[in-house]
Amino acid sequence: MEDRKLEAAESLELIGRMIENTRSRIVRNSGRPLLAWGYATVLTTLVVWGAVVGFQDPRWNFLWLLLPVLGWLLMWLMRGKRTEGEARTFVDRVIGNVWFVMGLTAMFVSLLTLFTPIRLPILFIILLIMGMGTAVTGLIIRFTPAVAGGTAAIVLAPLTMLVGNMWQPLLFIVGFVVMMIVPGHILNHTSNHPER
Amino acid sequence: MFRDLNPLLHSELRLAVVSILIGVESADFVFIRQQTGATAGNLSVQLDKLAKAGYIEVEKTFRGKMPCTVCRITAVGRDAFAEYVEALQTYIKK
Repeated sequence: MEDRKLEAAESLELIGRMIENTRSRIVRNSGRPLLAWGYATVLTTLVVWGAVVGFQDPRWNFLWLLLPVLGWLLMWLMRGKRTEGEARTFVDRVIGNVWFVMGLTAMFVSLLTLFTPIRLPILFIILLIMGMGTAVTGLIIRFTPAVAGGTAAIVLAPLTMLVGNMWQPLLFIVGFVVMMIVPGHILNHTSNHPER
Repeated sequence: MFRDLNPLLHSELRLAVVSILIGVESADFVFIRQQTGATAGNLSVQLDKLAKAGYIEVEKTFRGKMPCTVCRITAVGRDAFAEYVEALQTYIKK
């Protein structure tokens, strides 16, 4: 593209083409955040579950503090190469803010449960919050697997209150597989193999 | 009657840059270069002209250790783009 004068029709065509190219751009590996946080949560749950049951000591629940460390570590390890340009849209900002609020809320209730005498059904609450976040994200980006996965997690959440303590982590893991890991892989595949 | 077209926008590369920035909150230099297919040197010159006119803001920053130039359209730029499209319509209607 050069610094040349345009005809009126050429100008309109150029404006339309640039807006459409930008709007329909496909970001490779878009499912990375879902996969990083999905796998980090599943792994941490397995470790905490194994430790609490194996050593019969609830203090092993403090291992939940590994989750944010593991999540950010996976995000860092899965980061993309810097060779591709980056544009930030209004939708990116909305999704970022949704997860900022959801993440802070989840961290707040988790810390309350770990460090105060307040007893909350934490796995129920976290599954509900993350299910809402995933479903909202799916609706914003019009991605049905995330909407379905998020909704499934919201439906699964009250079941954690019905089953015994032993099976709660298993349902929690199923919830994260359904709402984050499966949609994350589908989203990655879709963004890396565009139809056109 | 044909309306005068803003000469700053009535150029292929500058119009492409503003058309990209109108649809996003911000875009970096690499993204704009990929979308327009322009050379880095030419794009830098045109970004500078748009920034001097107050149509865009250019922020020099770092992403990790790599320097990164981020561009955003300003309110002045949005108004100028809207006026340019209105003026273009007078040519198309004739």
